[in-house]
Amino acid sequence: MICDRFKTRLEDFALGAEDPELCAHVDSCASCRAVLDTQRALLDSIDRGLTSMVAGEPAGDFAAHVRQRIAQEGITTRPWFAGWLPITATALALVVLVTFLMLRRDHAPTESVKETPPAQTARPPREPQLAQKAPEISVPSSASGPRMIRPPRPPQPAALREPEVLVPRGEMAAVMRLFHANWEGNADGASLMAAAIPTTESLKPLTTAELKILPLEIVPLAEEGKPNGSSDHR
Amino acid sequence: MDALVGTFPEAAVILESSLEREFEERLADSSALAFRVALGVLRNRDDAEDVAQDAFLRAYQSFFRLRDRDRFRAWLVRITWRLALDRIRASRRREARETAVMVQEMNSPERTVEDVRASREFEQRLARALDELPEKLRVVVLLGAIEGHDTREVGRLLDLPEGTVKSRLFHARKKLAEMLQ
Repeated sequence: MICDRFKTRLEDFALGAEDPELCAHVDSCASCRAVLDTQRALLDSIDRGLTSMVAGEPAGDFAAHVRQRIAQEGITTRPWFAGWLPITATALALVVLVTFLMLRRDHAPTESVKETPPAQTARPPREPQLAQKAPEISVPSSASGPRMIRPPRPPQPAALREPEVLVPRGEMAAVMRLFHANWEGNADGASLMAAAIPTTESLKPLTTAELKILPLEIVPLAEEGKPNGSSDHR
Repeated sequence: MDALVGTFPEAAVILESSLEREFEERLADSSALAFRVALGVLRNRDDAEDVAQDAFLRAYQSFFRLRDRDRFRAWLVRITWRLALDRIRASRRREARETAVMVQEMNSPERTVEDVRASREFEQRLARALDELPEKLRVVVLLGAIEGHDTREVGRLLDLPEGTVKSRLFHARKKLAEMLQ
């Protein structure tokens, strides 16, 4: 039958699919038109059922309930970054603080000179009393000759920082005495140095002794006996 | 620096009051949408109101990034849909829902008992058929029924191309018709 080939297409046609051939056929075929009408009625019922299913208004106090719940539950509306602001500010403050502390530590005295008990065995025997006055200086016992000793330095600007100096053996106590005096403000370095350097009166001028060069005496070889080669040979 | 510190709280207050005002507008013009989406899934007015309120609470929390009206409505539909599905899974109140529908319809004065019975039977079958639809078809067909949304608007709400919405709507209605024949 000719209508059989339209049966499956009737559903799609009822749903709105375009089908000119079926459209022309339905105009002339009563049975197909009846099937199409039934299908359209069913779809219409479905649409009405769906519409009635979702029809309705929320209660009049819906908005008031929402506001009430927002207040009760303490919900806030904030920008997404608002929650990060305190965390970011704290992190930035920490970074600044750590940077500041690290810069300060770079300017502070180095830890190379440690406050250790005086090493009695390492102390030179010539100046034991001075070594006790400056216990913060530790001298390695194995060192010999001039040693580089870094005295403790007060925190100072870099421009005023003292350079490291080589202190010969035995002069460390004097250096420390000068340093402490400077540090405590009891004396300035210039006066100490002036006191330490002998005055001109106490200095004796250098005298030069004339070098006497005695003429070289050439002693001729002693003639103990003339060579007698011919007799010897003989 | 003091000036900056002083202006930040004021700016925050201004921003927050502006957000409050905009949220009130969204609450006024989208509450029916949220309620109907929830009603389409739950088919119970009280449950639908609860779910719609929950959806608005969540929307309020994230409102700063949902200030655009279209974006807000699309987000609201999605969150309401998910909350309604969660609700229906959590509490199986099918019997209560059906009873509520029957009482509502029996109270209509112009309909006969037979009409109401036939109508109720059809709606029950329709509801069951709707529940059996795949989720992506169900949400399209329900949104299409809400407020007479056209396919373009449904597409905006679901962030889908209009052609996709048309196709899904076609298949959804076809499946419903097959199940209800």
